[in-house]
Amino acid sequence: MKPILEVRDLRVSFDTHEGEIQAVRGVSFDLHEGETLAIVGESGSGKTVTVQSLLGLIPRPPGRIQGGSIRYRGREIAGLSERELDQIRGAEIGYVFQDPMTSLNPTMTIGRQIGEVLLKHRKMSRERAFRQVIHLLRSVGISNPAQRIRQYPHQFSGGMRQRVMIAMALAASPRVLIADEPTTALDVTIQAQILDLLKSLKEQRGMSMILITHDLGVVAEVADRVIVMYGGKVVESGDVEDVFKRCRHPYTRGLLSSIPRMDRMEEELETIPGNPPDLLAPPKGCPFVERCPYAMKICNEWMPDVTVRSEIHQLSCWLEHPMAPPVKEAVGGGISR
Amino acid sequence: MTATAEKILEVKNLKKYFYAGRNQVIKAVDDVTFDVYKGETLGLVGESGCGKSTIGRTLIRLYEATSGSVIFKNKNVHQLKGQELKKFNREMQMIFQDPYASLNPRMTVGDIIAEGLDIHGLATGKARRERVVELLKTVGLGEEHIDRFPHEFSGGQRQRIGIARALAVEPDFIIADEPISALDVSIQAQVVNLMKRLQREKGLTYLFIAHDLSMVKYISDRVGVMYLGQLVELADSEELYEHSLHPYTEALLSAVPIPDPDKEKRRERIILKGDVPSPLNPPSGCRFRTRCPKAMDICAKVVPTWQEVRPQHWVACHLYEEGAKAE
Repeated sequence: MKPILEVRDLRVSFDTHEGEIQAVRGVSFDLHEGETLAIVGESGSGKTVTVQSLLGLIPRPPGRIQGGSIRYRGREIAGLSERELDQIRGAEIGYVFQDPMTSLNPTMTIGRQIGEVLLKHRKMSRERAFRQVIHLLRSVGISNPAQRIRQYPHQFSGGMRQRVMIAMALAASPRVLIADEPTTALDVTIQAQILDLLKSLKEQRGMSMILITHDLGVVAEVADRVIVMYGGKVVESGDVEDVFKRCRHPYTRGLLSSIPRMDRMEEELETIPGNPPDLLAPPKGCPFVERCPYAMKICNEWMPDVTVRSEIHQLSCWLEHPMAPPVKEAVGGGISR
Repeated sequence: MTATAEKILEVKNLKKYFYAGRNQVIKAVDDVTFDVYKGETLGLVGESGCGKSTIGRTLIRLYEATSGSVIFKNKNVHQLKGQELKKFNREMQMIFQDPYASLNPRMTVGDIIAEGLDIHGLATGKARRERVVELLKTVGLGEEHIDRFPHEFSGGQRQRIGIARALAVEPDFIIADEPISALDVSIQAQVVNLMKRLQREKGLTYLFIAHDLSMVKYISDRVGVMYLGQLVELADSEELYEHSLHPYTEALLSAVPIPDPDKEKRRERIILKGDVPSPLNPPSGCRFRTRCPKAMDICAKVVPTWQEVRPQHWVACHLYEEGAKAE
């Protein structure tokens, strides 16, 4: 089946006083119908910029899409005008922002904010829109929706605001939902509520979902496939199960062994020494080279093409080259041959 | 932690109320009792607004207590004056959550770290500089950083500076208030491992306040769980995570996703309904009863007693009180 979204070699930069920050440096991925794809990475890895540029949401200037292609249901949408993008934003692809505290309009009632989407995309009458908003709020688990639509964002708790954001993103029945760190600002018991809600809404509506997160636990819980980003590039991707169990890239390995787990007692956590690369002057080769315990000379020079390990698991690492020297015992006993 | 270990800190019936306008009282910390043993790490977890940071700040006297007592090395902290207070300020130090807000942007790293040395007159001139360099090295930074300003450092490095500042006056007890929440995943482990190493080398005692349950489990010997201003459970970390008693602890633990797709598929999750009630008007009886899946009639009427139901395992819940189940 053809993917609903195909991204190829996406490159995005920002112009700053200090120079050009190459935030996204050649990212490619597919989103298939009905799946949940997680994009994981740390701050500055380019995960948010990647999905925001899909919908033309990065401010231009200073942002610039330097190249690449974004196909939505076979149609090229990179470089569309704002008006054309308006037909896609919300109606085809919904977006849930990270911070529910700041992304709602504090001067407008919840009902009007969600209603706006319906009036714009669905050309509904005010009365029908009103009823539809009540229905939407109920479907995201907000009780007393008829009263609550007259209230303002500050009268909602953090978890409830995120529900409002989700209702708004779903108002025009999009086929794809992008959720950018939807639970990062929330407490863990509220996070569990929201993840549960997203999972069931996705099933009910048969949507595809892109979930951005830095929490590998959330990935394991929600996603079918995962993309690991580092320094503006994809370093590893594939089926969640395969990537977690047989992760090969030293960065993914390091990340997985540097987080403590609730189901284990660890004596000492592994750490990844150093800091992420400076994207003002990105490394020529692999972005992880400076922190990688297995770095070779070639890694400084260029990053290998995607090494296909299998249909369901890809990565970019010279260690995968058939002629690469064997890696002996590795961090956490992982990469051994 | 064995029962014979020496208590370094005893907190008894501690209350901290904030007055928010007419007749409005926020009971941020409401009747909390616990001990901290010398050389251990006690973790304090709970969701935002549960009072965990307020406890930390009240222990170190950033806030005055409304009532109750804080006994540190057999002296009541809130009654200390003069020389004794100055000594206490050396013995107990704090590491703050936000490494961007907690370092003065107009001071050099060297002066930030040496501020405690200056105040307490511990070192001057050449000795002062040597001491600062030594502290920088202890936390994994170097002499070349001494004359730089905070904005030149990453979040993880700033948190190392915050740790060096706390260590400068050679404290016994460090309160770490969410020291890693603002840091990236790969940097968190660096900072936590540094704290663990320093504890081994210097025999430090930590109160580690955080909302990340897996990190708290990793660093703590014992863990206390808070809800709406009160401790609901306190036990050895392994005991707490393996045999939690309080329904809130159970829900909290089950809500944390585990980075293992197999386990996630099989796991039963307890999803709590609703939000945490307002601390301005907390529920009667047990404060958790409005969201508790096991709430009984008595929970609305009677405040559960904070009691040791197993050796070193404390809980405040009617399910574990004598005769409660019969009702």
